[in-house]
Amino acid sequence: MSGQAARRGPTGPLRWVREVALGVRMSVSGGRDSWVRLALIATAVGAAVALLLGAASTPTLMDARAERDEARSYDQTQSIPEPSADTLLVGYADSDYFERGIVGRVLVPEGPRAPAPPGVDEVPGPGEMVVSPALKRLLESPEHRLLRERLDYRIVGTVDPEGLLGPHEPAYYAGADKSELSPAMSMVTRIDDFGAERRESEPSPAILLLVLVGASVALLPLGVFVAAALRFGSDKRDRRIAALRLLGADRWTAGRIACGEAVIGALAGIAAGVALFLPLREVVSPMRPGGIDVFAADIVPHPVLAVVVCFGVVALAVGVTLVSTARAATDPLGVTRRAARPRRRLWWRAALTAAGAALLAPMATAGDEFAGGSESLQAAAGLVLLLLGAGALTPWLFQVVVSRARRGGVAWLLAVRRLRADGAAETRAVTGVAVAVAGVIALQSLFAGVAERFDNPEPMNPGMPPYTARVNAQDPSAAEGTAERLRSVPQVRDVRTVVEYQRVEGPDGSLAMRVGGCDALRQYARIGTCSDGDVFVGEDGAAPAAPAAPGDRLRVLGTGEAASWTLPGSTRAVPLSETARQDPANAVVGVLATPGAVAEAGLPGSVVRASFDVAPATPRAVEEVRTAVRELGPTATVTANTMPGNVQVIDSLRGLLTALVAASLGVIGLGLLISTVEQLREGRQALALLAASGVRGRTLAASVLYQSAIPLAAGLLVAAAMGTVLGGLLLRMLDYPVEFDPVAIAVTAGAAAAVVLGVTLLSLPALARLVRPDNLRAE
Amino acid sequence: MNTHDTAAGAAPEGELLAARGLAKSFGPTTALHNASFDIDPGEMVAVMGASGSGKTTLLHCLGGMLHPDRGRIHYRGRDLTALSESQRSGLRREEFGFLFQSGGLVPELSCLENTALPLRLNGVRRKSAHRSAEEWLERLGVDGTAHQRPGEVSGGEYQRIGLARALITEPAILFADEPTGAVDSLNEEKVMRLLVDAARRSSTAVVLVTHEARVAAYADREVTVRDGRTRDLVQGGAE
Amino acid sequence: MSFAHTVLGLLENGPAHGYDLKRVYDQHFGQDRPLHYGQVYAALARLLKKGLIEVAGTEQGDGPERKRYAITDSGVTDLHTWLGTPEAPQQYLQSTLYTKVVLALLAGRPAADVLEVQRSAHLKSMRELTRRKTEGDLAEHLICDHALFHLEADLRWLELTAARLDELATEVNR
Repeated sequence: MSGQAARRGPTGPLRWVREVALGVRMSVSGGRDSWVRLALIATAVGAAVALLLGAASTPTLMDARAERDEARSYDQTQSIPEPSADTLLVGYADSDYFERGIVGRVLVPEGPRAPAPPGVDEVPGPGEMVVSPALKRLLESPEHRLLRERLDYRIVGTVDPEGLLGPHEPAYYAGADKSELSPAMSMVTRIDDFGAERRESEPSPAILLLVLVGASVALLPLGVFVAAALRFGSDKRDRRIAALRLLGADRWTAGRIACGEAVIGALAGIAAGVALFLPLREVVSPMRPGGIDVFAADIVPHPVLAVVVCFGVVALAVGVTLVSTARAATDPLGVTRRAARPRRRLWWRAALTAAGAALLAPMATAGDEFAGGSESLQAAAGLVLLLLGAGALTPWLFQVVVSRARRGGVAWLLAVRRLRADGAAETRAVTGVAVAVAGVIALQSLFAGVAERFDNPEPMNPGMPPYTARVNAQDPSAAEGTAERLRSVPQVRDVRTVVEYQRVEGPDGSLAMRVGGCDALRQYARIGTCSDGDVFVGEDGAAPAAPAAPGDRLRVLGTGEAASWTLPGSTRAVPLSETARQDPANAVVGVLATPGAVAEAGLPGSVVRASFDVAPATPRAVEEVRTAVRELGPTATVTANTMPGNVQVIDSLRGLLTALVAASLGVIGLGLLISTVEQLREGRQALALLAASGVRGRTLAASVLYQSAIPLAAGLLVAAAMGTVLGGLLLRMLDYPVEFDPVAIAVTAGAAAAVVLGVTLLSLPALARLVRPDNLRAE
Repeated sequence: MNTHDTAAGAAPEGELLAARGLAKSFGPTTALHNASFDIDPGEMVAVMGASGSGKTTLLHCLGGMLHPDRGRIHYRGRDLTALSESQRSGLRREEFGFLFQSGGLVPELSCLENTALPLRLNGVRRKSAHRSAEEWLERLGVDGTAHQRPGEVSGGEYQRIGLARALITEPAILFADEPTGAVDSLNEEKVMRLLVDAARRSSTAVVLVTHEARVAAYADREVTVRDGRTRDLVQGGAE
Repeated sequence: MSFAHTVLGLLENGPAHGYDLKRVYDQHFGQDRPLHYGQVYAALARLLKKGLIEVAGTEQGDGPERKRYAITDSGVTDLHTWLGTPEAPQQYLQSTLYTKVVLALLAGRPAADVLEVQRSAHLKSMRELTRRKTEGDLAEHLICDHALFHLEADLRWLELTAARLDELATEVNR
């Protein structure tokens, strides 16, 4: 008809906008049901978005922490400024207290304009300190008397958040007398301002891999879950799309209208996510899930990532919609007739999995260790593909199981038939669980392997005694006092002290010198026979000659006046001990002298280094030693001779990932509950019909339970298989022995099963309400 | 009354829609075997047959919703089976109207919006589409339901709204599949009279699929589908 | 249907002349064939004899004498009984059509054609009735509907028989 053409409206984008708007209109104007559906989608997507926004805050969070860390650091490598009215002496005075690291600095202003550290208004005077709120709480509680004794300063103020990495960080700045600190002391320097660039240390490959796996495991199920949530009520939508197609909407118009519907759900979800995120971050800070110590104000999504999350959700909505409405759009008659769905195909699901395995396999079989860099990208891609493969295989396996199911009771029959007829919604919900569980199992295997290596740290230096105290001393004779003070602490054994001069200028360059008794010197070199008055020069096997020879004149620098001393003729060259050669801190080849040999030289003070053992090494005894040592000077420290750092990193990583995975599973559980109720709502007429024809409520409940349990079983089966394979591959990538922990796998699967079954139980009240006869009435 | 030959051959001149030798199978089931059909402009033809005889499949093929496995369908001289899916969509949107047994109204939209939907799919502005929808609802005596949802109106009203929606584009052909299947005798009559009346007034041809003789009796003639084959009624006996 | 009862029913509205009765009857029921006076008077005579009506008065006019008839109490009772008695559903146990079909089968003629021709005739008639009813008033409408429903019942029988022709053929030719 000629009139038709004239009536045609605009084409192109404007028309598209209208079509999308029509979709939006349809999704919100279906009365109560539509709003319920939209609310369900918004809740589910919102929970996921809130979590994703949290994850997207990690970079900003790390940046903020790093920024504050840099702001309160100072550069020790730069040349030391001349003392002036602007300068400040800073001594490093960190301390450990029962696994807690306390950040501490001792400050001596050298003039009225001396800088104050960030978060501190005024440099505290001698005998005073400002503390962080967390440390203040510690010091105030009576059970931490030992710490109070150690930090024996008057509290005159608090460190503001800008000077802290997190609200729970224990930190203090103490003031000291000018006589107590000198820039010549070890770990003491003079600065005219705070702030220094710190170089990030490269994470170890194992930890990088853990982070990669962890992030995939925690976040991927959320993606799968969001995709599932966006399809709540999709049966009805399919029928709507089919109706539009029959009216003559072409495939793309129908698609755009469907997208309009999905996008409104996604947008509502994003809005809900933001609304949820804001109060949630206030909760994270005081609750410290997984031991994360962050300021709520630091939890700000990275702008790019936030945009990625939002666009990702919308893009996912559009993608999922186009894929899921493809059938309704191409075969509208099939949908209106509710014809059987096409069989699920195995090939692309298997291909996805195989592609993932193919990406990981070369790294697992190669001899060298996982190296990070471009390999991390490949590893991440492989991981994601394998996990998605687990999600994709679940519906297929589920279909195989259902189509093979043999007869059982009425409840079983009802469930199997219902699932065979459709089951798409049930499997969709379980797919997220399968992905999460597969990831968690892989993560557990990896953790088990990595933790085994890190949890049993060997002594860093086998020959060395387990503890070392370092005390800045004004006088070489302080070595005696240090030894005495240590010996007075119960359980302390085997105390040996040396005075260490790290800056000794000889004719051929700088070297180190250590003064101590024969016993103490034996730690550094095989000196053979020794008596007071002997002098030795350490000789590295690799170096051809000793750095100093008898008769060399040495200039010894320390705290106070530098002294000159000539190596006596009796000086012997001795080979370094095995432990000294291995310890990079002792690698400076140097002079070893007994006190008698230098008694006349008038050497300046320097660092007293005391090595000792604590037996039995109870935590309490170690803390008492630390407190005792701190009496000897504000910068005196005790270190344990064990591998530092990694245990803590692994622990905090484990805590963080456990929290994330738990949150993820929680969100999925919530989504499952929503989707179960949603399905019950969709099938209420059939349920009410069954109830009306005399099927017992118990039978119906059992059938609902089966309907969740059967897909779940398929999902867990796939997840267990996939998770172990993935875990094995990851361990191989690190060249760790491949071992599995069946108990942990069972516990994980059990937890997931508990979530699903718990959800079903929670949905039973809804079932009871839905089978009331008034639901017999058609909509 | 026209006498139509059902033998295969070119579609006669002047016919609006003509189909020859249609066949369509769904998997192992043959729904149409060798079906033919003709309709003139403004004519009203009833397609009768028992359930499962293939009459709905014939309607879907004629309406361009299904692509037949074999056979040709000519609409105003254009071969429907040679058109692309989007061209057929366009034809459905602009020149065909559809009325289904279950109405096919979108439950989420108000009756007014449902009625205006085909126009809006054609890109007509909301305002003028709604104005035209209001007119049609009034003409069919259901203007009171404009702001209700399809779920809230009676069966007879539902079908009249469906009719308004089917006719709002003033289609050349209206395809009605058991339009009175879900309503009682009284409403059946109302719907049929309105349908006939409206179709006559806008000289819309009507393909009326039904298994009820009383409904078919509103048509100008009948085509019977049996086992996927069509046969025009023998015009013997009474004539 | 008893014609006398119809007359009796018309008289319940009030006394009337024979001529009035014919006119009212034609108005409501006489679409196809108008009544003859003779039928009216025969019925009135029968009713008078049974005492169901009585002569309420006589008017002398130009023509023949005109009697006014009125219903009696026993007439009212009789009418009441008649209206309350259901009509026996008619049972078409022997129909011409069935005979035709069987004869065709016995003779080896195409019985399906017999049915098809009848179907066509029925449908044609239904179309005409439908046209009549859409053009006529409510009374016309209801009467056409009555006929339409009956024709539809016949049609159903025709369709069912067509579907069972093979079965019937084996039975008849056994």
